[in-house]
Amino acid sequence: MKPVDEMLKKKQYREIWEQYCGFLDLDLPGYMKIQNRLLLEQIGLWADSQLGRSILKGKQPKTVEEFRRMVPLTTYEDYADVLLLKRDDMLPEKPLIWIQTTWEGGRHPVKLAPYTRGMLDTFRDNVVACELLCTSRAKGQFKTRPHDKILYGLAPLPYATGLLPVTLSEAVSIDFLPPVEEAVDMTFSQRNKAGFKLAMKQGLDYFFGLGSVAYAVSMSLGSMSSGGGLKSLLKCSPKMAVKILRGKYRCRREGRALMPKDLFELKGFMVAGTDNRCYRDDLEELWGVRPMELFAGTEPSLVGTETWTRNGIYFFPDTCFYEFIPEQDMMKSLSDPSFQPRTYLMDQVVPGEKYELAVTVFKGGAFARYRVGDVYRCAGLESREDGARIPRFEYVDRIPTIIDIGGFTRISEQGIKTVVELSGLPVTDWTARKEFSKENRPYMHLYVEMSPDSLVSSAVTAEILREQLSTYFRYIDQDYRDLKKILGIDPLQVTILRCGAFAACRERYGEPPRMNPSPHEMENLLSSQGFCERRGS
Amino acid sequence: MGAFDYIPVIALACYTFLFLVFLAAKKNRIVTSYLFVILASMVWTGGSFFMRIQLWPSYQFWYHVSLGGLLYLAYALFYFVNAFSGQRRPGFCKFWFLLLTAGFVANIPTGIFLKWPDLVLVDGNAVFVYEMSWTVGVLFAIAAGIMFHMIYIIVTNCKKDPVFRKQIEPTLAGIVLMFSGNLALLIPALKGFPIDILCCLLNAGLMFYALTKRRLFRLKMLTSEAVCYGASLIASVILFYNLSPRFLSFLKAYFPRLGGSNSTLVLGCLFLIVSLLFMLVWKKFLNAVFIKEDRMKQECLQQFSLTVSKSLRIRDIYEEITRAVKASTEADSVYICMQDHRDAPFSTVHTDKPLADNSFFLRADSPIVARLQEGDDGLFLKEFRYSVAYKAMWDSEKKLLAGLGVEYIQPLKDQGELVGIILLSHKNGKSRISADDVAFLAALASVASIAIKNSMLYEQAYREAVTDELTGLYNRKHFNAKMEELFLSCKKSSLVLVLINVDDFKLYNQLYGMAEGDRALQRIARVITASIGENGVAARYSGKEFAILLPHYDVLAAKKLTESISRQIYSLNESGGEYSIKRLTISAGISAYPYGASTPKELLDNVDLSVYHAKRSGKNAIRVFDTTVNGVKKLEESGAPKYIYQEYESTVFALTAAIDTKDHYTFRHSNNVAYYATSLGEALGMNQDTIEMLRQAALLHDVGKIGIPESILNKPGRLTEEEFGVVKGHVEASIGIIKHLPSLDYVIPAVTGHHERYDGGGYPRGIAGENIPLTARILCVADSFDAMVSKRCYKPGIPLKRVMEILREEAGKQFDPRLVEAFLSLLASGRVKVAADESSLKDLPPQ
Repeated sequence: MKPVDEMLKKKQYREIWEQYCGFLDLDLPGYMKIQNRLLLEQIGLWADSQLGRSILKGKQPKTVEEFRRMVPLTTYEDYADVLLLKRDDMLPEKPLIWIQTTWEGGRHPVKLAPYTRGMLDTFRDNVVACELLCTSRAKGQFKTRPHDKILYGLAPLPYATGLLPVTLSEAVSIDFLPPVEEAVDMTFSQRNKAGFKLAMKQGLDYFFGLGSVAYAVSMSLGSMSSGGGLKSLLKCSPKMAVKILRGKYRCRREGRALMPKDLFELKGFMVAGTDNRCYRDDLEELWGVRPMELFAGTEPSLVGTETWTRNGIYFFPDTCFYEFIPEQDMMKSLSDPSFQPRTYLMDQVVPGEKYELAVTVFKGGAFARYRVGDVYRCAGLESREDGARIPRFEYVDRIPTIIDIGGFTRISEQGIKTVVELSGLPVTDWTARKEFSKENRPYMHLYVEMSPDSLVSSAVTAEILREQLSTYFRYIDQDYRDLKKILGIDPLQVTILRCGAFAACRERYGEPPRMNPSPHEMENLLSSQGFCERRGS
Repeated sequence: MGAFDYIPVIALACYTFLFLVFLAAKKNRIVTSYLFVILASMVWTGGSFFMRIQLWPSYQFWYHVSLGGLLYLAYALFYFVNAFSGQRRPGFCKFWFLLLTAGFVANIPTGIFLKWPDLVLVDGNAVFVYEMSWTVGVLFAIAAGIMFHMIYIIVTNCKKDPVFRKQIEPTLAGIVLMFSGNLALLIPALKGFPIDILCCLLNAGLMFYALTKRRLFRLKMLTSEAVCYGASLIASVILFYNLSPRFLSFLKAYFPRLGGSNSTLVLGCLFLIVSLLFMLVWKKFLNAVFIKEDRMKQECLQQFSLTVSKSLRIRDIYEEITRAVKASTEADSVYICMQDHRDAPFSTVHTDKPLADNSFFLRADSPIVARLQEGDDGLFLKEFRYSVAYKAMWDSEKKLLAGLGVEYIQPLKDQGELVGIILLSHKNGKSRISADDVAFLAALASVASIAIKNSMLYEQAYREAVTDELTGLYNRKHFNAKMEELFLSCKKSSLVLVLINVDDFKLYNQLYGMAEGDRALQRIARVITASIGENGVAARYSGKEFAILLPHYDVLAAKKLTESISRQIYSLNESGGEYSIKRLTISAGISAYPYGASTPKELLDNVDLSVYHAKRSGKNAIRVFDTTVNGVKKLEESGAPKYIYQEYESTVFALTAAIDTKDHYTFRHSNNVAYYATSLGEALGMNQDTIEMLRQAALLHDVGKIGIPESILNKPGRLTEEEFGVVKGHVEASIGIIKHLPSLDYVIPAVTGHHERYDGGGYPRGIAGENIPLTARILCVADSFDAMVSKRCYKPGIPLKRVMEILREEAGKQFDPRLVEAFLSLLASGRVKVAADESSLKDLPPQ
């Protein structure tokens, strides 16, 4: 019998909570004790491995302080030669599985990350914690039971999201709709349809997906369930049929379309990825349950989760050793790669400050002091509502050099440069920025300046540019293609700036950033158009 | 039923009764095997009885059952004796079992060995007629083989253990009786009488006797007594159900008054009385055979307390802890881990398994340790997994505990401080530690903690009293006692005493400091310990003397061993690092009983004399005190250096000449430093050898500057950081040159240490105080003095008065204050003059 099933059978609810969610009761010294101890284990493993030695270059850290002093902050480039060739022998511990993700702006299309048995065990325990927390309404209360049903809207293995079903199944009996082994061979849309059909028959307890994807799926569920007549009702369980009839009646009375909440009473709702805050309210409206965010990545694995208050995330103490690069240092290091930023530990963060996350993966993981590329804001050092005495964070976004749309695609400066080159468009200068629509949906806004000569020889409109550039974005980036295919959105807007605007801005305010200029910098750029005009006159 | 049919019925009832009792007992290998014996007896007796009464399905069926019971009884007895004597020979058990099964199975369809009997009616009575052939011998030969093997085991164990003999006697008698009963079937006079079953019944009686009177083994009752009483009631009912018709007819026949309507009442009363008696007997039996769990634990704890209070040997106490824990709980393995000192890991010091891996330990910062430190209670690992603290466990720790199958961890505390832990493990990892066990373990741990502490204190005190702290060898006092002891035990054999004296050890200490000297002594002690192993006793006899006692050795063997030790000691300081250290040599003396001495005192006197001779004859030698052997073994092959340093004068001169050619200032400076250093050495009362060595070291201390470009050496202005780095490297460069001249390696400590500071802030090693060799400290003063007073192209010479002030200011910082004092008084008294300019060279003393 699976461990959580067995404990549920014995009604050991307190023990389950303690085992999986007990970290929320830790105080900061207790939290740091776990962090430091597990880092000591990892130092021993990592520093002894060929991979570690290649980065340490003869140094031998023994303590946490020495480790932080001797190991430089790293990026995937530092590991690529070992990990892309799957050099098991050079790693701190033999991995059980290799997880894949795209390498935005990298020299190889994908990144690979090794997962050891210890890492998977931690991942499993923390996934169980997320499952419990998403159903909880207060400390110690949860509704998880064996054979709950979950609609799972995320990519299967070898992506990190595919680990969730396999690890969760080790700990607790949970029925994936459709079953994982069948879902692997289905397309995204097939999977959703099959899952929904099963949910209509068997009911649904959990829904888990990227915020953006969950929203798209939720919208399609509404349309899927509104069709079909008596025949489709007969296929449902009597309980479900009653729910459908009752839902339809209520919708007619309220004069609105059928929503998932009319059909399903979710115990828990989990979302991952970026831009969840754009979809959260809509998702809550659709499902009647506010989604709980959890934070994971291919390299660091599952790092944190929200609680029943849905008010900021807490990092799991046993996944990674967390270091926080202050925003100022992060910006400086992005413009000057030789600069080594300072890092703070969990017990040194300041509420309200933004930090880039750097992690050292525990349990024989490959990454040490690895810059994940995510920016968090410290929301507070304790929370009365959660009864927590450890810092909680809010996800801000990816680092400024990356534009992430809905957690689906990550566009780098190099990616845009390639697209502009491939398109052959006479773009002389550009800057890209992530912006949000009135409906609070993310998109990429590309501000371009065209060659003055081309204006007379070719048709240049913002719409033509958008079409052409989108084509090439879809060509070079599979995720971008899926964004359109799965979510049905085209996240690109193009604005053509007056010729000479960039030169004027450079002259007046200095070099404008290529990626994600701040509102102030953007204002400077836009206002430079006027300056350019005055200068021209 | 015939007249004798009650014999098998009673035998069957007895076996059933025993079987029920044993079913209720806590199982272990012995109990299980005994249960097997009873079962086989039941099958044999029952099969035989049912065959006689031709019970359904057929008498042939019951014949096979009976035969099977008989054959397997032999095997069951063998198995029991094996278990009882603690033998673990699964191979033999399997062999006999397979052989027996093969024979039995082959006999079932064919009757090849012993065919089932024919049923013949004689005078209306059913009589079984057996047709036996020689093949029956095969089957019984197998059984006999098993029995002989069993008897062999019994006899072997009886010889070893009288208690075993006493306990097994009734069982052995029962076995003999049963097989005699079977042989008695062949006696015509006993035809028709179930003599075999009667013997079986008597065997059952002997079993009762063995259990109750001889305490064959103590059983732990699993079920409550009430259940057993219930079972006894059922047994009484069955008995009365069978006996009542006969009893009623008996009443009718002999007591007609009671036989009528009152018969049921009489029967009822009788049943009640018999049942009560039966229960009384049963209870007595149970009390005799079983021991209550809590009582057993109490007894065990008492026994444990008594045993550990009698011993101060830590190993005995560990053994007693594991024995008591295993006897009272169902732990498969018990590991005791102790902490040497605060923050040290909890290392395994004892397990109940001699071949178990004892190399594991739990780190002091392990969350388990922290949890045990918090409270006095033990810890179920399964429960600990639920806690957040478990998240801080390393994977290696989790794997270790899972691999060992650890279920429960009991802390051992001394005045609230965790000093050790007991790990209890099970092979299958399932929890078997009860609440009673937890209470018992807590009580045991509190007694054990005190016992361990006392024994550790005792052992530590004993160790300190008999060993030398630095080397870990015995001290002189204990060595002398050992010598007396060994002398007595070797009266009829031989005893060799070797005394090893390290040559020039004072000089070694002066050259490299006391710390290095101590390290050298430790290394020598390790060489000696490794060389003699368990064959002798070694001690640090005095500061630089080691004594070795070699019982049963002859002179030649002892001399060879000493030669080997001498060679190893000489190789200890073989160059491997950045600079070499002076080689160590020994002068050893050997004296042997009975060849050269007749008392321990003579041994000592002689060996002293031998060492004295070895020293007198030029050191680095092994001298045997024996008029017949009388050999002085010089280690010429080792090529050890002599200690007269003057002979390397030419090499030193060649090197200083080379310096002169390259940089005349450095040459002059080296000569000046030599002058100051030797003057200081003389003032300190050093012997001529050391002063000569000091002079050579001073002359060579800057030899590394040969490698520094002239542009840097003679640069008029301030040196850049890079240039200063090059100059700083001259110490290593000096060593680099000198280390290729093994004959001059003795100057290395002085050369390498002349830039060390007394406060530890110098280079290259950053050592401080007395750890800097004395010669290096002298060079440091002399070198700095000359550098300050000399005029260079980039600086003027500092006035002597100011230099003396600087020396005073830096005393205790850069310089050894004692040396500064001595040097200043030399300057003040005019015994040393400033030799900063060219002209002063003329005043240098002749070299």
